[in-house]
Amino acid sequence: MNDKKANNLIVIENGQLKVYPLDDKVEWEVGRSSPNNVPDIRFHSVTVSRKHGKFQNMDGMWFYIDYNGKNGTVYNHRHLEKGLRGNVKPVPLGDGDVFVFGGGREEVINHKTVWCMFCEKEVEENWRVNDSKGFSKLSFVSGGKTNVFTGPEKGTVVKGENGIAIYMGDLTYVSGDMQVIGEN
Amino acid sequence: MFGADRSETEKVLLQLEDLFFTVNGEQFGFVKNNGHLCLLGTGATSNVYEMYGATAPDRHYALKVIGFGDKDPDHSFVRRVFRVQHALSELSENIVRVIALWVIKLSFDEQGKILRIVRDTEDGFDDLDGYLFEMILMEKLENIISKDRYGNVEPLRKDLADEAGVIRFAIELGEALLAVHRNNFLHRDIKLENVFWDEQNGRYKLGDFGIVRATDNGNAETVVFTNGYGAPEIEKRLQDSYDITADIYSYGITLYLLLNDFAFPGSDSYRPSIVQYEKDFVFPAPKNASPKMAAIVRKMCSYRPCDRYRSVDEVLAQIRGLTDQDDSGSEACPSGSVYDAEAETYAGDPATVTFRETTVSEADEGEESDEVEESDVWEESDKVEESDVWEESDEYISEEGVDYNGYDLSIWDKDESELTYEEKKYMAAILKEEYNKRMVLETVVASLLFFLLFVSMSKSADRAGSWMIWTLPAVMVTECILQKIGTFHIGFGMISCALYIWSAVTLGCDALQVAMICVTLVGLPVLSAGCAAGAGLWIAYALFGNTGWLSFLNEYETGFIFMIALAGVFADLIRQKIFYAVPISRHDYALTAVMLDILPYTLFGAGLILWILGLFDIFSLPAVESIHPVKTGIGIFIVKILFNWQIGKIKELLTEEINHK
Repeated sequence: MNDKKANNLIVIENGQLKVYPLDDKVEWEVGRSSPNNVPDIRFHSVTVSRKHGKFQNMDGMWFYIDYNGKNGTVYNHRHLEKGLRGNVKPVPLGDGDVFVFGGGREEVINHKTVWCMFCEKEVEENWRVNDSKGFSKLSFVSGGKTNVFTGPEKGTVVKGENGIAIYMGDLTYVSGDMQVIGEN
Repeated sequence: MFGADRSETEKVLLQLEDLFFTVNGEQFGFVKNNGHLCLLGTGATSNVYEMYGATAPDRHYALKVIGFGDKDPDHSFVRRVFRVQHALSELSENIVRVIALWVIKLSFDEQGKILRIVRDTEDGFDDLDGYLFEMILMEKLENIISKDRYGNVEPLRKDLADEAGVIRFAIELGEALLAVHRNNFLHRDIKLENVFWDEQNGRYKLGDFGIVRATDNGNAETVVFTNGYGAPEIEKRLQDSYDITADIYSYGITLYLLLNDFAFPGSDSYRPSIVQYEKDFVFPAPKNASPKMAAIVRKMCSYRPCDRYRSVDEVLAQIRGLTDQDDSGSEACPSGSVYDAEAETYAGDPATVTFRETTVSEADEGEESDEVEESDVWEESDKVEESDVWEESDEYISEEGVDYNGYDLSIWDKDESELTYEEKKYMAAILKEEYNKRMVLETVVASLLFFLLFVSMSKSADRAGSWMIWTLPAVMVTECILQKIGTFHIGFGMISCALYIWSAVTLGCDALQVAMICVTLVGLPVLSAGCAAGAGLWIAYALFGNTGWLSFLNEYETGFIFMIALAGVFADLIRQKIFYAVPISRHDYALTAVMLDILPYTLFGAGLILWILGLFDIFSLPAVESIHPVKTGIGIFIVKILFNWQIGKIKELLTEEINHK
């Protein structure tokens, strides 16, 4: 990963990881596709509303605006609530911000909900998927340094100098100079 | 402009109309409105008037008049520009045609009637007196935008309202630029105001080659714009010269504006924003552009020249590619009721909530590869190195670029303009810390010197019993603390001086009081602290120990050495302030002037006079002589020279860094 700046959204839904380069559009609608409605970032989970929210670029700064769907959105472990007038305030985004769509207040992460991360650096194209099911202890090795987690939570992101790993329970997504070693 | 008066110019031009304007036998005349010349446009140094040709009066031309009054600039430059534009307009249909160039000098009588017209082709033109006029005749074309006096921009071509029209514009502008580059020129002033529409032939044309420059090796020297079209390396003078990628940046900004309602990136109007030239600013996509077009335009406007397209050929290939592809249709969706239904809960029992497999064919590919590499699968536990383990850290710190203090030194290599705000704060914090560390060292040295100075000069060790003497160090310590805090300084300084004078009167004037007064006036926290510590030490020795072993200092009158050393400490303090970029107050400047400029000469001069007077037994002051003013003066002078030399070195270092960029 070089330090070129580019805004990307990493989406993990039902085991599949996808990266959206956000800079080429000013607005990205988020939701579940239906015959009348094709959002720019499409989810298939039924837990996500058809019009769930949108990512918007305002003069170079990225924001997320939630449409207050049924199962809500959790941003950096905080559930986005609507304000006095019934609208949810736009949230300015920074590098590493994490979203969970459709997981309700409890931020449930499973195959029916969608996990996303906003990145301000260029993200590599090639992602590897590791089977991390059943391990109680995981070591993340990058650039000669090791980080050990015992019983990590789903959605844990480990960043190395040139690599990144996203632990999602049964699967761990790895890119760049990063290696995952698990043990019982 | 000529006489700063347009009507003057008009009168001249009208006279010239009858006398002068012929190209290859064709007479040109001005288009008039009620007897006044029809003004098409006006710029900083030129006005553009409308003309017609006698052979085909319906075909109109534009005459750009650049008058310089009686100044005499390089008119061979204008000839060169004309030749370039003429040649290029032959090679490309997308470049405004120039038909004739007239460079003349005029002389007038008192009524303003033209007496003589001299062309630049005649001998002795350069040395002649007269008003210089440069006029370029070119084809008259329409502007594509209109600007009101508030700077708001409206498009004059309906074509440019949608992306297809902009693509067409981009291709024609690209062809023009290609011709310029292929002939080893850079345009350097690509902007919406310099692109015109040729109604007769139905095409866009690039014009106004006012500052085109030839490139010998692909580079040109720098001329700076401030209009938002200039590439960052030009605006910020980061490079000595630049190449065709700078034109590509301007070309990209032009397209960006057309697709973004004429607002510059990061701005909401036709006025550029400074944020556009920040290294880390990621351009938002233009509002009305498709994602693919947005990607192309954003790449053309990359901050670093190496990130842009290398040549206009590449740009044109990409843009042409846009029209060839079919946009993939929207994703088909099964009509199954599950997808159209409202969102359901995530915690549902799998038996009741049917989560059907999608039968949709995805138009967009996934970005990850599905392979699971066997080597990543778990290994034996003893491979984990326990010594490197730590919990829950966010980032890894690199091993290189960290010095023994734990600072990250890599930021020092970066160019000033490339640093983010965070990095600048970090740099300032490091500098401040280093400065403070040195200050402690200076304080210790200064206090030692002061102590020795007192011992060498004083003869009254037994006064220590008197309580009045304790007031002095107490006052000094308080004063230097308050200086550090920065409040009450002037007031407290004055009170302190009053106390010293009082103690001098009651106890007898002694080195201690004199030194204290000087130090208070100097006003540097380090010297105050040093002096306080020194005075304390002196009193302690007087009370408890014997200073007998130090009495040699008194005998050999070594006080002057310590005075020189103190001047050295002072000079070093100022030097450190400069080096660590601590702000220097006017007080410091005044002080430096006194200590290093006035003091040595005064001491030297006074000492010399006293010595001469002593020789002739006229007058002598033993007290003053004991500090050896001549030697002290010379010593401080040497300190001053060393100080200036050090400052010179610092300046060299700084200019070296600047030139290095």
